[in-house]
Amino acid sequence: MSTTETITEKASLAARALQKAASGIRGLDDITGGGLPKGRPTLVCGGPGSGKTLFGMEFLVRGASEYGEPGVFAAFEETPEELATNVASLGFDLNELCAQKKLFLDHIRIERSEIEETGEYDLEGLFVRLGYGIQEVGAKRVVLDTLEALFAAFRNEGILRAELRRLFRWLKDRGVTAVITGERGTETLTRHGLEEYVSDCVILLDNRVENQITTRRLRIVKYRGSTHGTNEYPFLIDEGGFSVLPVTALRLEHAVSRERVSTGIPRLDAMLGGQGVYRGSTVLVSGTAGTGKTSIAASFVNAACRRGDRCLYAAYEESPNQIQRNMESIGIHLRPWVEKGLLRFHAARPTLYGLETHLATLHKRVAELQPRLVVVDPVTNFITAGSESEVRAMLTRLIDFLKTEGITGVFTSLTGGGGAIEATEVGVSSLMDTWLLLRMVESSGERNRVLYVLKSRGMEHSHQMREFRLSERGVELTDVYVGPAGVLTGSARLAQEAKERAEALLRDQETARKQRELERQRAALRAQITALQAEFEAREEEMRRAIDQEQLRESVLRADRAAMSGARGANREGPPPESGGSPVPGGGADVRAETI
Amino acid sequence: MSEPKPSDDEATAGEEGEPWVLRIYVSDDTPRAKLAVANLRRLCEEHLPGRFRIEVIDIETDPGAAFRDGIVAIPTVSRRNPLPVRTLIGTLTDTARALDQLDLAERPETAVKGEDH
Repeated sequence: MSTTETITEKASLAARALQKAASGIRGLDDITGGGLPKGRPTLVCGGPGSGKTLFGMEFLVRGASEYGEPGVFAAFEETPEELATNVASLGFDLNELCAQKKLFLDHIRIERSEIEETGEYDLEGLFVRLGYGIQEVGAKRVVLDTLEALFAAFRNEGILRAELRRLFRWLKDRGVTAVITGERGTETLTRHGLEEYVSDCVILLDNRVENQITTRRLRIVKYRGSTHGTNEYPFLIDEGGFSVLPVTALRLEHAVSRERVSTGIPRLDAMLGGQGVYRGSTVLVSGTAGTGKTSIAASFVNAACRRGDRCLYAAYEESPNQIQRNMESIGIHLRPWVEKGLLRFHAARPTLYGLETHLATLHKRVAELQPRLVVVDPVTNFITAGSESEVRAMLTRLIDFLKTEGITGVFTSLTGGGGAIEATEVGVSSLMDTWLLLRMVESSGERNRVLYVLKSRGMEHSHQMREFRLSERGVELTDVYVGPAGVLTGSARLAQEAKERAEALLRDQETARKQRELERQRAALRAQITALQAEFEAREEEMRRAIDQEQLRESVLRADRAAMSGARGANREGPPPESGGSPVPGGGADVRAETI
Repeated sequence: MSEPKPSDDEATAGEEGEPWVLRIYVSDDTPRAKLAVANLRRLCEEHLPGRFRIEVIDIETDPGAAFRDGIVAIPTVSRRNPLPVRTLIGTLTDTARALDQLDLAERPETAVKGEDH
């Protein structure tokens, strides 16, 4: 029971919560959480030339053409013709909108010198005219630009203030979403304190010049009943109208991708866990002059275009033509991608305008092209357009933006010769997901490039140095020689490798020689063995023959003797002659022993 | 929309040529509107007897008139004839200023000048 009540209570609360009217001004609806307070007046104040009129006009034009909300523009300063001409350059066709009854322009002209005040009066005429315009087109939106002209027109400020109070109440009663512009005062938001009548929403426009660079900024001073971004947001006025940059993402909760994209350099992909970087992550390529930062960036672009991804290359140092020509020399052909519409260059001098404007322009380009890869080359050049903290703030916002959009960002950063190699000038490395560091290694009178992955969030990556070479075949990474003498690159590496090869060759030759020796020895021994065996066989033969002859002679002898004895008359004497002999000497000893 | 209504007691044509045309814009039948119209009529009767026409325009009933004629303050009195158009706002309580703005202050001189052309 009580839960149901709470739910209905919440529902009614939500229904009562402030409704918003989308302004249609790019970026503004993001920082206001949906637009201006619906059915209420909003005060837009700013100095001369800060874009107040345009703000109001775009609010009306967008409302009429995109949100089906017709509007009334009450111009106190410019005639309808002037207005139409002024905003035609921004692509707004006021005459057409008026003809379609989507817009009602009323030029409220009051010339103080032509009017004499002769007693009490009120501004009912203004109310009636606004009411007339609202009725004519069925307006949901009203712009009063600028009400402060009334202060110049009427002498009686008491009447005027009372009427202004009544006017704001009247606008609210009408339920129109109104924009009232006011001239910036020196100590107050508006010169005549209009802010005291508008309590719902106050927006301040600013046009500041710092170091001869102008930057337009917008700030929401107050927005009753709504959360809003409180920062100063840069904005642009260009051929597409007004665009405000929600430069810092209000939340840190962008979706992340697990998809990996190639860097365009196979060996580098291999160093990054074999698959390259995460889509939507940020890559910092830092290094001293001439280390090949642009070449690496161009490789990323080339690989992305080959995948069919659109790329935006923001060049702040070289012209697009120069980049294309230079990259052709290392076999990276960017022109076909440009022709196919996959790659677009955005080239600008850093000092051309302020950082905020740079950022705003990039936002716009990204919004137009919808790229999946953005290269900023180099970020360090921005230092000429702002202080270090400003540059860092700008890049933070740019990175936030790219991450929110899921766009892979490649940033090159020039490291000064003197500074620590791991310090990026603008101190953005902590914002980066992957940091590729390029270094020059000097040895044996030459400089060679080495690359290593200083960090790469969320993936296994190699911690080894690779020699980084640019040839007409593109960017190549080679293993460096790491030995007791340190890291060797270039010709030193080649020399070392040659030396090692020679040594290895020598070792090989030695082994072969020994092997041959062994063979020879084995052959020699084997020959010796064969010779000995032959000798032995020869001797054996000889011996056998001798034995045979002996036996033969014996048998012949025996045969002879037998023949001889046969001839003497056979067996006259008893024992054979060989068994008879002399008396035995031992018999004598025996005798001697018997004697003792 | 609605045509200006001449009041009955005003001359439609004066004996000295074209009558003065004074248009007064009011909003609704408020006491202030009544006061302004009464003050204007009194001034005209005093300084332009029989040679004026007062047109009362109620912008509440004809808002387009306020837009077309560029009316902001109410009441506004506009001298349509003779030209140039002279404009004054307020209830015409400040008679001296009203006469000055309408060129009625030095009536004889102005009249001579006016009749010259």
